[in-house]
Amino acid sequence: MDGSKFLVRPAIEMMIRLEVARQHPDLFYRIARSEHLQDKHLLRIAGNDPQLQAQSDKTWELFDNAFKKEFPKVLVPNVDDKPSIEYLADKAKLKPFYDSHYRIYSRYTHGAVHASTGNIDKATDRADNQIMAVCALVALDNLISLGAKSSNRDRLAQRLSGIS
Amino acid sequence: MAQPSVFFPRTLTRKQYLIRCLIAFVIVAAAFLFFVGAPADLVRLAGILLQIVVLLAFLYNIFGLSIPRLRNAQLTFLWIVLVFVPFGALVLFAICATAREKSESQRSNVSMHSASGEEKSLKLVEDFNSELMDALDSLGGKKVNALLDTYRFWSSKHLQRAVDGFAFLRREDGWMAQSFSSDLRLR
Repeated sequence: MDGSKFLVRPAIEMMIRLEVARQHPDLFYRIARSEHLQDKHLLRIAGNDPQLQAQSDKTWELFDNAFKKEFPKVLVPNVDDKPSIEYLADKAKLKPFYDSHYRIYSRYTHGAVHASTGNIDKATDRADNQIMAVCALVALDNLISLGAKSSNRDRLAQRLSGIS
Repeated sequence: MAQPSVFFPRTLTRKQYLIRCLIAFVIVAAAFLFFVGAPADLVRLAGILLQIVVLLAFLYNIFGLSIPRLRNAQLTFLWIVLVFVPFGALVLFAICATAREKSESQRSNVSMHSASGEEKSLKLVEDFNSELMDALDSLGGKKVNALLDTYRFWSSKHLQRAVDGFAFLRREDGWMAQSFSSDLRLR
């Protein structure tokens, strides 16, 4: 097993988050909210410093206000639960990637026996580069939609469909 | 889709094909011996039986043996034409009995990936990485104010870093480390 495989799952997760945030701003809010609550929890564990807690709350307040200003028509979800990646993938219409690639590469992340001994490498070797290219394409498309220049985007997408 | 039956399977391996050929041959031979050794009053009946058995064996050779075997070997069904040519059935038998099995051709496809396929797809990842870096650079002077756009920018940057690290490790360590550790895998 080579170290590059460890980077596949974070890339897939980032792709899912990126796409779900683009398609569903309310879920973007939920992601941020759950991360804020997690930060508070970690601060409590780390000694419950009131100054740090206040700073964290202030940062959240700034985010909350900015979100409501940017999306006045979006109903802010009143849910504190952390949305699962499976749920986000479903909402982002990327569930097939979750069910296949994400689940398999999670085995490397969690040090599963067959992953750490290299026994599933043969099954994943063919997919490693392909799925990383898919993630890169999603990132590239997001950057283009933000105004970035990319003269080779279509050629790269065509090459990707050629190896798929 | 119709379910494959015991007599007419979808595919046949070399071993399965040869065993079934042997059984068919024994049945035809038995019908022939019955015809040859039949008493005078049963000759007509034995002749009809032999004709039916030969006809069934001929059809079974096409649909129950050759087609499944050719499918398994990933060969064209046009080879079936040989059964209509004198001694062609023997040639077809030789082809079916020696043609490689599907799993073998799949194995060779996998090994093909490890050389040219790997290089081609890794080059694509590297080219995507270059394009992502150029795209990020092109946004250098622009101001992204909106909350969601800021998130999308930094997430894309995060993804580019992962792609960059992946391509580096894959190119530098990946295949060398993989060949080194292949013998240590669990059997």
